[in-house]
Amino acid sequence: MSPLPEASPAPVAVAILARGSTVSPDTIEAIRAQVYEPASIHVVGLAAGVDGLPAIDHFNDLVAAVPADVAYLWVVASGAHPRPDALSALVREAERTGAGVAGSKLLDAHEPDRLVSVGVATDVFGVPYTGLDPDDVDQGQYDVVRDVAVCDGRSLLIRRDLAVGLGGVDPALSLQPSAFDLCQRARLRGARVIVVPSAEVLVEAEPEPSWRHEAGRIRAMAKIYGPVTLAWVLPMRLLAGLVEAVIAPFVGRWTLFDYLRAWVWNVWHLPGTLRSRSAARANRMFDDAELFRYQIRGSAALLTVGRDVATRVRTRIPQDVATGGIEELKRPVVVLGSVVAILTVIASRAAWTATMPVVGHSLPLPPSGSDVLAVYGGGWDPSGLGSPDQIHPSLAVLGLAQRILFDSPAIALAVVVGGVALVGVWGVARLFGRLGVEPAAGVLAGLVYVAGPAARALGESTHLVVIVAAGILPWALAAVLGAVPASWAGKIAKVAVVAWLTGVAAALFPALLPVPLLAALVWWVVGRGKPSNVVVAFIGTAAALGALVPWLTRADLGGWLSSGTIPWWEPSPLVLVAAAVALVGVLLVGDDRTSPLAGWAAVTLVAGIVLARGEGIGLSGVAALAGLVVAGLGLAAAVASAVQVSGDTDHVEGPVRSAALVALGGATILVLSTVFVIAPGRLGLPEDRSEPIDLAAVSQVDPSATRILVLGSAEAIPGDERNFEGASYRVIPTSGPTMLDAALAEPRAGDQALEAVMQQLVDSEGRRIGAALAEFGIAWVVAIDDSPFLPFLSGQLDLIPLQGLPRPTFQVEPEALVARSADGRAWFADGADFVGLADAESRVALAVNADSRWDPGPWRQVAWANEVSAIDGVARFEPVSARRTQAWLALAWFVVLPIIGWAGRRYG
Amino acid sequence: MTRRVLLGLVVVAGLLTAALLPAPAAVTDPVFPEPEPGEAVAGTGASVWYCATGDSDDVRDSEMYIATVPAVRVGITWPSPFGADDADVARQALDAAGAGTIAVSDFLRRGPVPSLIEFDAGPAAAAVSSVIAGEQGLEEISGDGCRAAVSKEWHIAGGTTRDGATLVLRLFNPFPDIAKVALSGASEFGSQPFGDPIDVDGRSFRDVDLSVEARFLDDLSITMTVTEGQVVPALILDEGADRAVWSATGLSRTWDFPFVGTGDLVGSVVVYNPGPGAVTLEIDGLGPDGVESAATTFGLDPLRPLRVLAADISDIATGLRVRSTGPVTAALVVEGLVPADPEAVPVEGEEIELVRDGRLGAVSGVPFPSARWLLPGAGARPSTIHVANTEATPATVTLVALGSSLDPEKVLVPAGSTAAIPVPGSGGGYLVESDLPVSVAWSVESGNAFALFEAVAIDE
Repeated sequence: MSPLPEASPAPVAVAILARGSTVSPDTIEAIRAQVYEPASIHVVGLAAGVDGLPAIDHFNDLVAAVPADVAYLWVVASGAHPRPDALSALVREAERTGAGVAGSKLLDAHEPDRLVSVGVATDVFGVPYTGLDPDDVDQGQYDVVRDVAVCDGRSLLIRRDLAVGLGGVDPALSLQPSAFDLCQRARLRGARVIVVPSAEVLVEAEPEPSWRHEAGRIRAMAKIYGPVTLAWVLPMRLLAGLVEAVIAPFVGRWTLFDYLRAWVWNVWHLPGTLRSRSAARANRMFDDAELFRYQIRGSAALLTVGRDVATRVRTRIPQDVATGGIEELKRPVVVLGSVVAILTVIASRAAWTATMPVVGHSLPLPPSGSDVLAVYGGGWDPSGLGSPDQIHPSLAVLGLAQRILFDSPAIALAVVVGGVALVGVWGVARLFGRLGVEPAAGVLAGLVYVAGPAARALGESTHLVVIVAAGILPWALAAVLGAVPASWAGKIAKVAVVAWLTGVAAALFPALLPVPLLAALVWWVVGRGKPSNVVVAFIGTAAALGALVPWLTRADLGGWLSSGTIPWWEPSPLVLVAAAVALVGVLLVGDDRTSPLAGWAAVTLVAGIVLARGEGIGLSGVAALAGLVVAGLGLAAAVASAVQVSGDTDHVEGPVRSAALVALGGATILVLSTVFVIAPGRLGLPEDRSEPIDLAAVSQVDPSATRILVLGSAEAIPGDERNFEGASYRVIPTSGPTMLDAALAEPRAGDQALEAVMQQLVDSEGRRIGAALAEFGIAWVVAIDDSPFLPFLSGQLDLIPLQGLPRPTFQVEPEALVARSADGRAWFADGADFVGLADAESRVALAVNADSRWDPGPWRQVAWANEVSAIDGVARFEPVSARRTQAWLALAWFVVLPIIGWAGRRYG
Repeated sequence: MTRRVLLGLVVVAGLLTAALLPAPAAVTDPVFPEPEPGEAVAGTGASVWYCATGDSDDVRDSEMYIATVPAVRVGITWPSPFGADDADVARQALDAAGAGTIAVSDFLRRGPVPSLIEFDAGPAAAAVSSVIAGEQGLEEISGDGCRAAVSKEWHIAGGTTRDGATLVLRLFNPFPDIAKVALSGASEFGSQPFGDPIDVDGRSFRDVDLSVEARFLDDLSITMTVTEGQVVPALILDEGADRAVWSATGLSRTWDFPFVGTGDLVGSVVVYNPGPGAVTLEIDGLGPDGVESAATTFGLDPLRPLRVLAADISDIATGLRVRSTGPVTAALVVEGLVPADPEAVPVEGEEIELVRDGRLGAVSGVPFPSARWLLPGAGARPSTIHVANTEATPATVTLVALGSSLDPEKVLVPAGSTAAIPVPGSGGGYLVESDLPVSVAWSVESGNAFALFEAVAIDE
């Protein structure tokens, strides 16, 4: 306790701020109990007085009304409970330091030794950052009077003359933003803003920040900062808020709508903000640099989200463990979880470092996610020689993610691919947690899922979108296999969540659509599941179909199902033996919790293996990929059950313990096998093979204007390939293939014409194959590995071999352009469109498969290609409106389902 | 418990199924048939013919001979040593059963003018000649058929760098990329080294003066190994008067020579075995009495060219077939030999001294007989078509003058014999069709000039 002042030289008027429509009697009582007797006490924000205290409408009215001899105004929010010496401490330190604004140390009303705030730092965006952990205990470690950026609005002393000079608080702002605004404006006027730790105030938990807080902070920024600062701080806040909106859902918060609403509010109130800005910046003594001195670097919002993520991981796992009662799993779980997370990051480090290998179907994202979405919504598929056919929904998911993530291909790929590895581990731990497995076993199973033998085979297939889908799938299974709520709202929310998660996974790889339903069925069959889980899975799966339109309604599903080949999976015998040992061990000594899981694992693993090895009996590559994902789940379940059973039998001796240890040995081998994915750091993907086709640097024309004919094995060619009598080839843009180029549509007239050219090549008909290829815009021919076409290339008169390149590469001597105006000018690819010099009198030849929807007209088919007018300087494909409508519906599905899920869980 | 057992059975059955699933058949890359390297075969589609020789300067002129069965469009390109952009191009269209002669001097005069000729349909073929016209007819003619395919390894026999002879190896690279060619050779003294590989720029040629590189060798045969790019080689033998030009070939176990000399045109067959092992040669004589099988037999060591006078094999043979136990190459060199004293009267027991009269011709052998042949250039001026029938029954041969109104001519070639059929100078090529596979060549003799040309088999 601070000693009492000898006198009360500075009269203080106290403003108790009503919260809602009431004022806490405890707050009034605490004010009245102050040893430093206030000159007057007022209730602000109520129409009528409370407990004999006069009411006043707004704080600014009080500022104007209090007599001039009042030196300070003490703002105390209802609910706060100042200790008796709080006011005296505030006044004493304010007087001593000459501060204009002084704040209190806030302690938790329910745990008075827990710190809530000792002054507040903010970032440049005005987002408060206390720097305290949620369980920080007050040990006097922060008890020093110091300058701070902002004082908490729940207890704030301000000099009356300063308050008058500042024009009071901003009436448009809520409490905390208002305090921020007031402190910042005070500092610009030269006033010190300090925190007085000896002025202790007990406070209740503050409600969650709302959009009003965010809106207030934006308004405060707009009022205070100079033009130069505003020029970067507002856009940065816009981006930081967007990032926060993307990450926050993973820690259970939805900030997107608050974010949007806050910005809309500010746009609406912009005139008022501008007026307030003039007043705020008038007569300032300092510039923005003075404000920056008390601010933290970076974004406090993102720091908070990061801290929340860490907290969630840290707090959640021990909490789950605490219910398990296995000390051996409890103790290492935090370390184990961290190690697995680090290993997962290492396993996917290529994604984080923007060095993802370009090989097979693992390709970079296109420059613009919007272009991909436009193509998905009935646009022109530019892969190969182009097609109006519907592209795969995985591209729409990736395009949407890219669009959200600043339309940056690198960031999107890092977040989607790198993030999905972590999400996959987390999802598996969550899935098996719901099936009764301790988190430590769950995270090990998660590691095996994302980096185990099946994941390695999946990576070797190079189907990146399947890897991403596999990361989402455990979440869908967790939703399916979790308990079904009793209330109807809860049930609806459950179905919505199942549908959404299943839909996202299926949109990335539609063959995974039935997996949650089948998993629920198997779980039911092994005796742990309930029919209600199956029903939820069935309805959710049916609802998940909404994610697949318009692909579902337009694509050749039969053709898709029977398409593609991937390397035949030959799992190591050691892996199979290890899995078998683990499962048999669990089945022998497991209890009602682990034995069904082992049974589920066995069925899943065997089903996955059969699918993955079924090419010889006519199963397609699609089935094999789905099989690998399912087998990965089976292996993960085997590890989870084996580790769990070893923990369960820790205190048992004899054969049971021995069997459990044998099972653990099998699981250990499976965990160790992840090193083959972790060490290379590419999620199992093969090494990059893009170097031979990276010809953009040597291209004399813009690489978007030409194509490369790639020859080689099916494994080496980027994306899908065309087949000519068993030999593979395809065309890609010289600018480099992207995910948009991965899948080739059904062959059309141009593809048949190109096949005829390949026939001409191998028939040795003529020696000017370059002239024929130039008609397709092919400026380069690259043999990416051994190709039966290669011997025929060196005898061509118009293919110039390029020296010094890693693979045989030929430049087509005749000028090759994908799009060319009548006067020979090049037009360049822009997404799926082509742009060039506008000329009302000219025409543009487009070397893409003929389709009458190319604009602007009049359209004319020239052989297999198109010719349109050059009048607009842009040649574009008129989207298929029905498919675009369906794409919008799919987007609505994508947005609405999680809202239903959230609302159902909140209000159900 | 029952459920566990059933589940276990399902799992075991699944495992067995997975274990027994057959691996998919291994995918192997297809192998597309490549054209026979180095052979001059006219296919039915579009084709390109590479003509390594030809000269167009102040002394010599070149004639390009083109002949076709279907109507074709023809493009003739003379690459420039100054770069691809400066290539000279001539275009022509020929009707079906057409032939044409293009005087290169109408387009350019810059000395050696190797060229490439592109047909958009086939069968069609090309040949090239160099001529010096004199007041009394031709003073010189040399030429050869062009090549429609290239090879990584070429062989050519019959060269000589004896005193007075200039032997030039022309390496024509019609393709855009640089070619590297390693030369090796063999003479009567055995292996003949030739130093470092030779670079031949793209769309260019390089003449290697073997008379300097390997002087005073009576027999010089060459092997060219192309380590990078591709070239079309030809030998040019100049003994001061006439020239002989002949192209390199691949290797074969049989070589036919429908013509081996006549009268004072004395032919020598040169056989070259590039190795690695020794082979045995059997040379059949083809003549009016039919096949004289194994008229002569030789053992031929590797890297030891064998030169043998046709007359030493058989006095009466008008054609030869060389059969070998291993792959060899063979060429025929024909020289005009006349008595040193034209008025000398032959005396029994004494040999008349013969001297070269300047006529010189050479041609590679025919590696295989065919029922249809194209002879671009035959009939461009009075020529002789030589047909060898190595079969056991007579062959009826039809000669169709291309680009001419002459009626087809039928000739019966006896079994195991040859026929020399003179044709007038009325067109620019001939189509020879036979009811049996035959071997064909043609020659031109005018004044002091003589040249032998290959015929081009039509791929059936």
